[in-house]
Amino acid sequence: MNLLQPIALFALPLVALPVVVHLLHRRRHRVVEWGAMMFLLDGERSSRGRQRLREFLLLAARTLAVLALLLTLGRPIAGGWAARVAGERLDQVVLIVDRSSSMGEEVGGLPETKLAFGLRGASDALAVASPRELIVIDATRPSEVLRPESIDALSALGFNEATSASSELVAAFETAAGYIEEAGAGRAEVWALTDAQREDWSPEDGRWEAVAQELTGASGGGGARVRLTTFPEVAGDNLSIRVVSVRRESEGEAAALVLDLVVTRAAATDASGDTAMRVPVAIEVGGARTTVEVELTGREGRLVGHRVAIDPQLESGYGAVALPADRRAGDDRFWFSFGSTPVIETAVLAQSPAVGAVVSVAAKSPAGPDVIHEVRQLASGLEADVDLDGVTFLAWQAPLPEGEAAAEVKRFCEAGGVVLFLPPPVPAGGSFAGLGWGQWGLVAQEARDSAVKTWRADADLLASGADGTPLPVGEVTLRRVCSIRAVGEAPVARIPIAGLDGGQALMTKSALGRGAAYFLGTLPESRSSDLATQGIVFMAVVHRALDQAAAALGSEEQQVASADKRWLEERWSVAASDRPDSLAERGRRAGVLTDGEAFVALNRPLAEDASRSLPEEALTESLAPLDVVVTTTRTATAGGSLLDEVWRIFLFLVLGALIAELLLCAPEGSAPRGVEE
Amino acid sequence: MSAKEAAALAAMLDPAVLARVGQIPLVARRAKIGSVSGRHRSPHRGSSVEFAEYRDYVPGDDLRRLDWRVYGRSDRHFVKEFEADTNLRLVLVIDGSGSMRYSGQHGAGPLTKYELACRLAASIAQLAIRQGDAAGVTIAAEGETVRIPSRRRPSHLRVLAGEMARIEPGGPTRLVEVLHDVAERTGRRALVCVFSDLFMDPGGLRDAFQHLRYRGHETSAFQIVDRDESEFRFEEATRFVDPEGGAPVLADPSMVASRYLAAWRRHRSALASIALAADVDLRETFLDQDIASGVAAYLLARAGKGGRR
Repeated sequence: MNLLQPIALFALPLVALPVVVHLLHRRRHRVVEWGAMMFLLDGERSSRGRQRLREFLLLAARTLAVLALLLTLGRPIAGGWAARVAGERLDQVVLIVDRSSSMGEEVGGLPETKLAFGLRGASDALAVASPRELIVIDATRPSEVLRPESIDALSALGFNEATSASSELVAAFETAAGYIEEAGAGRAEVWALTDAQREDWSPEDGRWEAVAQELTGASGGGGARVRLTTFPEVAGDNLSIRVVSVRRESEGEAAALVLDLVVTRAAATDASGDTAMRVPVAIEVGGARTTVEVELTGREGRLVGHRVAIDPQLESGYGAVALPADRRAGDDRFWFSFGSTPVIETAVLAQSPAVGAVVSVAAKSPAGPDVIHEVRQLASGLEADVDLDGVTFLAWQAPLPEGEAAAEVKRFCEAGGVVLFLPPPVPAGGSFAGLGWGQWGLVAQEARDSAVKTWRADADLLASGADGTPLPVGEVTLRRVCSIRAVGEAPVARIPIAGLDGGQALMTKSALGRGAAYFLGTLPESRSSDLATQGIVFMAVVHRALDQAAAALGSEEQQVASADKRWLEERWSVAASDRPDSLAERGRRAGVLTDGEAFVALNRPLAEDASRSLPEEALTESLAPLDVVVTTTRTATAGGSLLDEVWRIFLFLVLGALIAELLLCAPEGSAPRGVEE
Repeated sequence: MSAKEAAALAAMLDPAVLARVGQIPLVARRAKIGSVSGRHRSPHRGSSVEFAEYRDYVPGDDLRRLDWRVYGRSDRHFVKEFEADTNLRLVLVIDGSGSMRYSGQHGAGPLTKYELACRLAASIAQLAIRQGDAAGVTIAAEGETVRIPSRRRPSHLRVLAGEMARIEPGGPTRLVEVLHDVAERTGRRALVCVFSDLFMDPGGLRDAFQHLRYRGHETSAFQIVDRDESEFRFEEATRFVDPEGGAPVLADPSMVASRYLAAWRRHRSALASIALAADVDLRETFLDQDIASGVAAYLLARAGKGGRR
């Protein structure tokens, strides 16, 4: 048997206490000169055997009670013991730690976070299981495998503090399964500490099946056991804050920040059942601090258009909004940054200069006061050197990209960029995203003024205006149209956006990752159409593409904390952070990064505030048919260790021994037998 | 007659006892054969005022007893017989074994069982002598049997008290042996009062009682015990040392109490049945009991029952 606190064994000599007391008791008796010996001898003779037995049992019960009490204090564990007896020793323990923001919540009844509490339990468990190898996978950065000497060594480096990123548990399990398989035969277990948030666990993910299969084959075919420690309880009084938008406005000499922020409560009411509540929110900008009260009704309270005066010299900067500390510290602060004017860059590659000029003009025309649009002309014909860094929107009027260039454009699209392909003067072969160019064809004279018959007015680039007024797409005059070919089996969805009479496509969209590629079968120049002169439709197309790409690529200023490698690049340094010294976790910690010019605020993802925990069955189902042991920790007192602590059994033993002692001590014959009157 | 004996008598006799029971006669249940005329019935015909019967004259009868009036009326010779009153011979047998040394653990009093036995015996002896009976004492002491023959002299009381005070109880009980001895030695019918805790084999005791009865003696037995002994009120572990020389016993009272009490009750009922069979007036007397009331109860129970021939 193993003890978590073997120091209790030093008290083991106390077991002799009942024996010593018994011996002392035997020595300490009174002496009586007794005449009625005949009755005493009669009673004593017949009960001597029984008395000896009773005395022995009594001593045994007392000794057992003391022993069991000592063992209880030593916190005995069954798991390690069973494993030792079976001659088995764990070869590997892969510990998956969910360090997402929500794990930073305090466990009920303890001033300790779920993460720290879980890690302490894991540390205890490891001390007993003592596997040959310990692997730790941080689920906020699932690709990396850590090989620490001990959990405590990790904790000393701040591992027991939650990050602001979200976890990808399935990816972490994937890494674990891959590692176990690679390590070969041996008894392996996967331990995981998580609060089982739906978004972090993503039970619909198809990879679970593969992970379960892989782990089933591990441990020499015996299957790796999975032990989950979950923390499903969410503090109902927890408040979180989030900045929805921030912009800098200047009027003459004065400047101000306009903030929209939202405060969310985990439960709809507070402890007294009151739905309304006022929360002080501190706003810190450039070293100045102001406080504003936000009124919550139900779960939410919003503050819209709150103006904070700032130094007019401050063109760009950062700040934070903060709530009073509560049980989850990670969501009490939200960082934001602001710049004077964000820049949205368009890249144009056009074989015909007229087309390039039109696209440039359209892209540069500012749609709002706080955005600067820049256009970069790519050297045509040098497609191999396509550099799309910082580009939001790409217009491409040239033969479709091939090789390196195609890969670069594809990456660009998948990251959220939008590319608009325009037909080159001489359409060549090749394809991109399942689409390619056909041949130029003239539009019949009589049909030219109303050639476009169908277009998607509900969404996308040709959608109607906000008030429902349709774009005048039907009035566009088309003189010639280049047909759009569908190439090969569609790997991605091909969505028709606009079509001519007779079903020929004028504009088709191919979704790629977070971005998209659009093929427009005509050009904004007079030989092909009047898109350039009747600029409304083309302007709308270009600016909507820009907006869409900018939204998908994300504003550089407000980002979600993640393990994205780019935050680890040298150009970034931490301007402000919840924990400024954690270089390796830069990007996963909420805070503000700066590259010397701009500031980027990193915050927890929205899903971390939602705190929707999966039920235990959902977790085991994800990992079926693996042997999954789930330990649910609700409060600090209700277990929570990865170990099977068996102290309760010993406590019952103490109780049993004491009851036995009591029964043995009860004076004999309280109901007299053999009364002969 | 020494001053020592007088002091012993003064210690043993409580005036309160006499004051309370002085008017109650000590009555023998059965006829006694005494040496002088007394208040007890004798098996013989005698000269008391109480008419007994007529019987035919046989030669040798005293002619003075012939009822002349009957002879005058019926011409037949009848002798008129009267009851004979005689004195009582009281033999007090005191157990002087070690177990009589017990004086109680629970503050029952300053008396040992032996001392109580002596006080009871002295009180009864005093009453007997006061009403003209003879009283003697036999003490079954360690290694010796003290016998003081019965006398009617009031001064004899001091002799008895002196002897009783002289004896230190100790050693194993010799009561059965002494009772047999008393049965043999006491020639005439007597009242034998036994003072003992009767902690002995009931079989031997039965034989002794039967022997006494066979010899025509009337027996009363005062079983003197302490409440400790009858109720076994001990709590802590105790080493019980046998005052009569047996092996000591270390016992946890809570463990042996029930068996002890069962053995006690068995013995008690065995004594009761022996007493019934041998016509012994068995009285359980507790150490904390008042002597006067003990004696009074004894005398009252006997009064009005006496006189069978």
